[in-house]
Amino acid sequence: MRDQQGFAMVTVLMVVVVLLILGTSIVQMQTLEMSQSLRQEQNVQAHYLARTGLEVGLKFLKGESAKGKEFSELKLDTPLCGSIPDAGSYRVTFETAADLSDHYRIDILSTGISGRRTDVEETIRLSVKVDQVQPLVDYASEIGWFQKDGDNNVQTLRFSVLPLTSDNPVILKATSNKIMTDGDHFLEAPAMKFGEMTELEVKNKETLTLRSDFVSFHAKVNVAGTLVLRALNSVTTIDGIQHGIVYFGDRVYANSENKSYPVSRGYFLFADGTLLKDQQIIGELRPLSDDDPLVGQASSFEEGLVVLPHVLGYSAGTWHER
Amino acid sequence: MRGEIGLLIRRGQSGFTLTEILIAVVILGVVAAVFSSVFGSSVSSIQGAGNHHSTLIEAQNLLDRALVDESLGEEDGVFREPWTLNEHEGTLYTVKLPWRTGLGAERELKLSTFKAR
Repeated sequence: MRDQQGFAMVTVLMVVVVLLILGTSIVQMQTLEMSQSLRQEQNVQAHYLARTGLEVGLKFLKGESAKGKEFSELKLDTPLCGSIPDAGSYRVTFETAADLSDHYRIDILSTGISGRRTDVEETIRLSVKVDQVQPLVDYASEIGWFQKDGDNNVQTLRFSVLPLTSDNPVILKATSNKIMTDGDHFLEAPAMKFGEMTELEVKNKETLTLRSDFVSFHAKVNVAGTLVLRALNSVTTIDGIQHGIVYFGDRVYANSENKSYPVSRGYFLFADGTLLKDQQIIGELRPLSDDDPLVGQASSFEEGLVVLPHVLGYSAGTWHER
Repeated sequence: MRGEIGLLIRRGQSGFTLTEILIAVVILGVVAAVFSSVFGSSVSSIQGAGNHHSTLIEAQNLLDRALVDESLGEEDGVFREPWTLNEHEGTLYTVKLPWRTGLGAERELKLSTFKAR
């Protein structure tokens, strides 16, 4: 009987120990459950921050390509970082893959960091295939602005009562040495470049009207008749008059080496409706200095880049002469 | 005489066991009270975690839908505001949903993301 003394106490202590172990386990479980639940919230927020970074990264690539930059010119070394208040931050980096035939691959790596309690990160990788930017120019020979004639050394502009228009810049590059008028002509395009030929001739009593924001003459220009410059979308407006830009690579002649118009080589701002006739300039041709931003944009077009989207009103890109 | 000794022994045994039982009952009572309190709060806390989890799933679905469905508004818990990140304009989408902790307190769950224009 004496051996039985204290048996109840031992049993109670055993029960107490079991209950303590059980209680501690339950407390640990509920603490773990709660912290996991809160961590999951941070994981989800980090995911959305990473998606935010992807949006920014894609927008950056679109913006850069819209500036007409070549793939090799894209500045992809600097990470893009940002944050959203009360949510966290993101960091975007770029990886470029090897040239795959006619396109490139850019991997956008976006890491979202949610740091409400402890930092939780999630990284998303998005591969973007970048095609070589398609040329956004038309060649006059391909859109029927030229007319073939018997003489292989001269091509005539196609006669048309209505303006011959193009939504893209037009390169007037004759397959012959010379382009000349054949009656009155009206050409309209956001930008025009007369290049890689010897001469453009506007014959006597004939009129060539060019409606454009930027006209570039690399060929010798002979204006025996009338050359009319019209603004299209207006590069700038002065005193309510729309203006465009014209570039002359040489003096403008009046069908003779000895007679020329009072205009030198360089960039000019022309008022809408300015015409060159009888060795006179009627209207306005205002010289532009080399450091003028408009000259910078226009000369980029000369170099093969269409970088006047806000001026010319069409999407930009890179073109290469064929 | 034998009867007296036997009575003394029984009395001694019975008195000690009663005290022992009383102490045991008290200890058990205290432990049971503490345990039930812990158990109760644990159950409610786990309930709270469950509420939080289901609200998180709901918020995630809502935010995904809000990115494509303009009809969702503040009455649904979707908040939009113009935002600019790295010079890119767009919209900041924030979803705010209430949830209850196990103790009945109301909290707010917030998720945000940005969509460029």
